[in-house]
Amino acid sequence: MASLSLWQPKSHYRQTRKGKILQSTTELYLRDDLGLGYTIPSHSSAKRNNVSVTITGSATKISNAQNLLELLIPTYSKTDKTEKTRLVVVDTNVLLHNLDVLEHSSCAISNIVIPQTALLECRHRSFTAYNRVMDLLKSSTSKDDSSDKKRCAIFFPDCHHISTQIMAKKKMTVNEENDMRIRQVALYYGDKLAGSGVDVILLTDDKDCRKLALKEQKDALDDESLLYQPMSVREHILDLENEDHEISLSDLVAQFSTVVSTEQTKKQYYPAHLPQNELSIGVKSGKFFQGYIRAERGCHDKCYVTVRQGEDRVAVNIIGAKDINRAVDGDIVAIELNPVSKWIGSDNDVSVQKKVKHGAGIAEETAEPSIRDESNVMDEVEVPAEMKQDPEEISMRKPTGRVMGIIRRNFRTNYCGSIFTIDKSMLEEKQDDDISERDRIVNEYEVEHPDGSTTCVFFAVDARIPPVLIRTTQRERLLSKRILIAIDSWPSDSPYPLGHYVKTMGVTGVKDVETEVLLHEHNIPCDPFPAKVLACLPPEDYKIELEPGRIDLRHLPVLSIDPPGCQDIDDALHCIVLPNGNYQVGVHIADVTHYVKAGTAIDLEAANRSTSTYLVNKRLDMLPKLLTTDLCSLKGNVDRFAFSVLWEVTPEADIVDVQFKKSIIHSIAALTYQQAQGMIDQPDDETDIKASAVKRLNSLARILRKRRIDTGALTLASPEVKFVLDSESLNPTDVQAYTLYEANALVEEFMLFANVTVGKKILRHYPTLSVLRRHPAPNRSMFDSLISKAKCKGFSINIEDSKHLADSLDAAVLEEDPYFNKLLRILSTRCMSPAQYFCSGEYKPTDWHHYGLAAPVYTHFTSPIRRYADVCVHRLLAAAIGVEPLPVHLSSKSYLHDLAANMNRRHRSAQLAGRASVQLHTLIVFSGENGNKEEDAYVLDVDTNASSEPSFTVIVPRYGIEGRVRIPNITANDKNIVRDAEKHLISYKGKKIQVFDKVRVKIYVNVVQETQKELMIDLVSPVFGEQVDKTSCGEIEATLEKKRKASTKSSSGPTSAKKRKKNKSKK
Amino acid sequence: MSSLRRTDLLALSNLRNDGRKPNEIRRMTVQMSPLTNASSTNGSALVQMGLTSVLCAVSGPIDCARRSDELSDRAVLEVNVRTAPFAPSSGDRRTANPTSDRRIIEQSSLIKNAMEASLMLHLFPKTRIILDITILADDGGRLSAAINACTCALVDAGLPMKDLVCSCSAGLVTGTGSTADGLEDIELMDLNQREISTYSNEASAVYMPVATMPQRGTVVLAQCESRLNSVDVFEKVLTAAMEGCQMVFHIMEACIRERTAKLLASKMGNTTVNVNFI
Repeated sequence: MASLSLWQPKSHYRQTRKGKILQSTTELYLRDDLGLGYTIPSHSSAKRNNVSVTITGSATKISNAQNLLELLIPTYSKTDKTEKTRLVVVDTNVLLHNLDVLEHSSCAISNIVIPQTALLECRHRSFTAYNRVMDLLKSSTSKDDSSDKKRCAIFFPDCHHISTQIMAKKKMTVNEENDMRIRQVALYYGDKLAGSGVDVILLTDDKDCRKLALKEQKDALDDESLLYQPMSVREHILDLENEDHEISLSDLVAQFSTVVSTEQTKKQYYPAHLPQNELSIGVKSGKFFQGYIRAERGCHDKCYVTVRQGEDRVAVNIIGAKDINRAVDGDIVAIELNPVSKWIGSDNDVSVQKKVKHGAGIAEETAEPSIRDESNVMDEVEVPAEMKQDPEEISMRKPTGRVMGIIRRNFRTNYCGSIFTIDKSMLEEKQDDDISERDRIVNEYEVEHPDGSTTCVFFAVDARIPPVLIRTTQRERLLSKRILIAIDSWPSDSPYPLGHYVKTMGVTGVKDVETEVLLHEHNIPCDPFPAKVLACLPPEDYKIELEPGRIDLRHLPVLSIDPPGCQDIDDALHCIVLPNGNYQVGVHIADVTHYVKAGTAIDLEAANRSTSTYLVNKRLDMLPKLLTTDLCSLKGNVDRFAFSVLWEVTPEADIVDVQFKKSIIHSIAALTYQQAQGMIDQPDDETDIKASAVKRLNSLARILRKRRIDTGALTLASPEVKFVLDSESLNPTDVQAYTLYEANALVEEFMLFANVTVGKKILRHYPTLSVLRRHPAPNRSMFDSLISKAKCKGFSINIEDSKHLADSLDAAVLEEDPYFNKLLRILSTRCMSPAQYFCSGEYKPTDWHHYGLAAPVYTHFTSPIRRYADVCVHRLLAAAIGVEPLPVHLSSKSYLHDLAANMNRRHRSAQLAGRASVQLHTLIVFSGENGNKEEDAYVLDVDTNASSEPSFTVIVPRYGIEGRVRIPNITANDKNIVRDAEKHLISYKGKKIQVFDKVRVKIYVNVVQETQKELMIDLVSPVFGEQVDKTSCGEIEATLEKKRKASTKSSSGPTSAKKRKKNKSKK
Repeated sequence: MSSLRRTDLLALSNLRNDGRKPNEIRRMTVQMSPLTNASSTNGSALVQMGLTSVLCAVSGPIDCARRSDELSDRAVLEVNVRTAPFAPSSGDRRTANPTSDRRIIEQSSLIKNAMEASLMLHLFPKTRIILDITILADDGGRLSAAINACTCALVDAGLPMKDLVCSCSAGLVTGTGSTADGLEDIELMDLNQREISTYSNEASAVYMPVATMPQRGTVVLAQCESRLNSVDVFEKVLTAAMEGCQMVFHIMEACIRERTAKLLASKMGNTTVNVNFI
């Protein structure tokens, strides 16, 4: 074995979880047959379904300099009118922070060498960056490729290459050693390409590394000429731009140090972070706590970290920019608890409050009630006895803490938002107090640089992200646009993080752009399906025919009931009378797994997407269109493959027998809910097969529902609206309440029935591998506010278990206000923790319980077209009945765990995106001619906090809008205000607002800047305070709005019920 | 799912994590007769495959301890496997007491079966032959290394065998998609501990130690605990493992020839035998 020229065992020491130190030794083979690295060539070729597929080949070795020269792509320089070939060797930091430059600069930086050392370190530091580098490596094109995007990416396995081994000096840090290795790679290339006219450049932002590179070369060679040139990214980009003015990449370069004007230099805004080793020692010793930092919704300077203490999880509040100390939502941080005297709820509370105002962020004057992501998090904790100074003190307080250091950054790849500017002359006229926080920041930190670039202030759509300073040469063009940026760093001498521009998405406020923004914000995959996936589809002339192993159910009168215009029909029903008088009921579900085989590209893609996302104007499918709307969709009057659950039940809905079969069906009708309702309502007619089937199904559904409710299933509610869309532009023109028919409930009932039946079946066969859905019992403390609110109206809510809750909700009916009961149900829905997918082996059987449905076992089986969980369940069921073997993946618990986690995450973000889309469309409706509406609204919550502006939250049932309303004409510290937290009441000179009151409000759109609009709700009646002169009142309001505009996002969380599907999916 | 991508280096440069190509076995060294001065052993060998090193000592043929153990038609083969107390802990060592570990007991019986296939036991009826195997270091593939060590030790002891029993493991990992279908299986030869433990989490990965008699082309052992998707997979892995065994055979053969040549030369009185102590 000549190629294995050297063998080196390497020892590492590592510490086990128990603290034992282990020595582990691994081998390392050094080779002399690796040449000059590897590329992965890709070439296009025609494939099935007329889709051109780019095939990435396997790694090919570049064996000598001649081969390499053939691959390199020259760049044309306009100033010298010559072609130059450059080869760029990158280091880890360039991969981590300047990937945008590398990705976008295919024409300028076309030849990249990525050393293995850099790639490994990159993977260690950031997985997303690593994945992007891998994509970069795989997208290498050949020289003759006609496309504009030419790139030659070379992977150099330097760890195994004999010529690039280094003798690490003692006392060298890992970083220094890695830098040295990368320099060695550059030197190797420089040596091999010497005299060939190719410039080898080492790209690194590390000054010391550049210095060392020069020094090492000088020491090694007597001659003055350099084998390679060390350069920083900015230098290199400027060089390139000088050569070709069309290249504009400098915006994309990451920023690491503040470029501030002289008078501000070296002001330290934040305390320094502790070094990593001190943090880990602190965490181990219990001095610090480690956890993900999460910003409260809608503001970035109120964060909390969930800290585990034994079994309990406690949310520690971190308030103010100083205490948050440069942590951004999602980072893993180490925190130290503040002394008890500084906890919220103690005497020093005021000081905490003050701190908020002093913080550099946009001070939020109102905080929305936070719904913490994790359930079962305690908000308040008992002060430990030894820490109590005064035993008389109230012991319940909210702990606060401060960030000591960041263990792992979680800068998302890209943030979406826009740059703001201000009219400076207008600012001068204003009083200091009138200037909004946002304007103040822009005024202070927007700096023009002598080289024509500007440091602008970027505000992300996601308010949990602090403003970001970006440096750009195209400020004018970016104003009033939605742009993507990346955060690079946050040095302690910068008040805000530094970032760089990545991409422009479009003009702010345009519906399509905003839709794209919201998809991006919720991280919903919206790229078209890759060719690999499309290649898995059946050919166009595919015919559905009976095949062995399926039973033929085409003779049965199967019909589907869906919302009008539904294209992806994944369920159908039938019900016939058997000769013995019993009924045969069948639920037929689209057989998606027939087309989506486990482990194929289409399956992996679907697993990644996990769910279809429904927006108001758009549907983002989990599977390609051919399957979703055609082959899988159980449309009327065509043969389709199905997975059927067949029950034999008595007319009293007692189950006699159940069977699971792969089948072929022929739906006789695709009904809408309305049509089905018509059939339910019409008088008996035995001759009409459809109507009689629907009627029978309905009678069974009633019995099933009653049975379910008797066991304690909850009926919850959410404000449900639908948009009337203009048929051509798809612009919403109006909002309507969504009508629920009994037919909706019919379908839902049978789907629940099928899900429960299938759940039990797969669990019997695969007790530890079943994909199920659980709904944990809600946290009692979540209900505190609801219980006290209901008390105001004289009702008591019993939350002992779901049965008691259901009963007490049923009992809470106000004669005079029929909507009251629904309000209660809406509020109790919000107290619930979300349901989740899980693998049955991971939880105790007692934890499998579905609280909302009061079912011991529940799963999702009925919508495989739009949910991946159902696809898994189909496979499990097929294996359970012995039709197909269980795919290997599904027998691995760790895979199932990852899968369930991914499904839960995707499900949640799909819901949030849907809601955001509704919000966007609501705004569009109101900014049209329909604006300025007066409507009835109900008070959901009253802000009885003493120092806050008198305000309350309302819901407008007609539009499903919820928002905060400020009581006009009263200021916060007016002595006449009476706030009663117990009764949820604010009164002022005889007028009062109490929870569940019906009020009249005006809804309108407030235009903040040309392109920025907000939905506002104002109180119309009852009227508070004295009627002031009309004009001055308007002025007051205007200024008040200014104050609020940064904080109030008036329309939060109207939930649409665009489809029955949503209803189902909540269960 | 991104967490499954563990074979990126393979996709990028056709190299495994330690720098080997998929079809290369680890560095293998064979040391014959390391225990020459120990009076009770008749032959010994120390085999190192990468960082796994196994010492095997052969005693016998000697009388059985009890009459009842004797077999009238052939010799009894006894295999004792133990792990040296200083051996670096391996991933699958589960019990505190290595001698009573079920895996080790199972492996001794596997080794026994494999060696019985080649050893001409019928030439020594009513005796016993003892193979004492000590695992000095385990970095994966200790079963293979142990079988190879046994073969060499038996040769050293001069016991007649039909063929050299050579062993090597092979595995199969799911690649990350250099083809259009996205998934391509790659066979790996002679897996080390890191590869075994990394890939054993993947449901589709396969790990299989195989022992063959290369000159006869017979497989005497193929043990697979992983789930096999199809016969194809089995054949692929088996072919790879057999190639590995062939490589092992060449190395072992060379060592044995070298040793024999030296012994022969010393008999002629030309040189002295190099006595190796560990």
